[in-house]
Amino acid sequence: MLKIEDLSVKIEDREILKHFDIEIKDGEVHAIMGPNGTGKSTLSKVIMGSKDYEIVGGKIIFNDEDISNLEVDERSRKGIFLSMQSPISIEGVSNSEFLRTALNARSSEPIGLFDFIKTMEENMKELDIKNNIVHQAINEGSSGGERKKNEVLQIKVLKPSFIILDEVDSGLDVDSLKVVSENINKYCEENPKTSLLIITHYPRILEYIKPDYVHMMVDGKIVKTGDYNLAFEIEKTGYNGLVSE
Amino acid sequence: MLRLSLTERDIADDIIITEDTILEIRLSNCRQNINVDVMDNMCLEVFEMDSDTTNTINYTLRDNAQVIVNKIAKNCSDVTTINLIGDKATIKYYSNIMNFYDNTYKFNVYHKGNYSNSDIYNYCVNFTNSEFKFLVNGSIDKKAIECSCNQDNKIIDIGNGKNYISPNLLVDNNLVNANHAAYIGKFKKDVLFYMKSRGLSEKECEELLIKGFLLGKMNLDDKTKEEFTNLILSCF
Repeated sequence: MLKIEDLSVKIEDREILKHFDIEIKDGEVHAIMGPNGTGKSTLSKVIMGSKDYEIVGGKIIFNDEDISNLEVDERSRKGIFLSMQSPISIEGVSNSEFLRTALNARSSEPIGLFDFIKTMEENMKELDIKNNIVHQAINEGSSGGERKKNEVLQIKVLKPSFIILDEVDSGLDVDSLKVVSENINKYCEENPKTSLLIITHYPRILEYIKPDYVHMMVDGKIVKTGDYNLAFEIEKTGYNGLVSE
Repeated sequence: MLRLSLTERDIADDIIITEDTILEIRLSNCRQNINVDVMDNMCLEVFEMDSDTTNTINYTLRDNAQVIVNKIAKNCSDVTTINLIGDKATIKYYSNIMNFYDNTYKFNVYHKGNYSNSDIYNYCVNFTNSEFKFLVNGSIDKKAIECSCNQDNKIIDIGNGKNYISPNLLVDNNLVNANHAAYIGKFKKDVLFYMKSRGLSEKECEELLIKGFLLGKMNLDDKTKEEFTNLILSCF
């Protein structure tokens, strides 16, 4: 599915990712944990194709294709989805118009209005999202939790094959975290080849979405890889404790 | 509610509003003088759709008159003047311009009545490298107490045009609420990144953002919204 080889990335003169490697196969769930400023969100944006960063070495392979030079929208249409840490609001653009345009952008046949409404209603019900959000501008006046649910709604409608969840648990209360996690798990069950990359500070979300691998990232690269238990080891010992080992 | 319609073929120097009215204005390739006088306690809602105009439009609002103007225009060098001569006269004015040639849009608001209120939104998308100017003056008379005079001016530059906003407030009274804002720039990079990350091309993002920018503030019925949208889509 996704393979990152020897990737080095800088912004202005500061190198953020340093010879970064990871391989995520079809259907695998990987989690990355690391201290603030270590490059986790940079990694997610670079995979998505952000032009804020310069790739100075290495490459990103997605389904055996080098996508390092592809545009953001091309990567999205190939199946990559980044659920953002702080989803922005967009004045004047309604959720329905946005999602319908996004769906049509990845399909040769435009989706009919009836099918679109039906898809939206089913998924909003599962996410416990109010119906009137459809006509509201994207994330305008929404709480942090509502924004995160909207990200998951987009996943369910657009059906990506590789999903990056960048701190999806931040800003979510216990009940909302459960709803979001259940919906992501259900999506992965229905689409078993879907791979997940979860970026988080806390092991709590990993209790709901079980990772196959947990990576500890420090100073722009992965320094330790383990299973689910590594997340709790990190919480117990802290990053500094594990690095000094 | 009375419904009036005005096109460039109609000669209508003075329109006097003596009952609650919806006024539809459709003007194309013209230079007209239009005066709209809204009498005491009357409500007027205007839906205006223009292209290539150099009009002079004057609104006079008397005591407690309430006016909302929803305007969309392609290439506009109009001069619009609002005279709030009555106490508690209130106007909300949404000007939304799509620009392709050198144009200057002048907008003047004069507060002469006590407790009068104006909220003016001047938005433009400049599609080419041409020059576009918003010259906006809000003036509050010495004798007009507790007025509220607000203007929000924005130009989104699509085609590297020469853009200029002059947002002036001329306040001659200590007891007022007055605000002015001006923004010239592109759509924000993080907004484009977010939209593209859902698979929309640059062109699709721009279309949605421009529609949202120009129509987002106005409260339109479905038919009018479709008509306004079609004028916007004709620009792509």
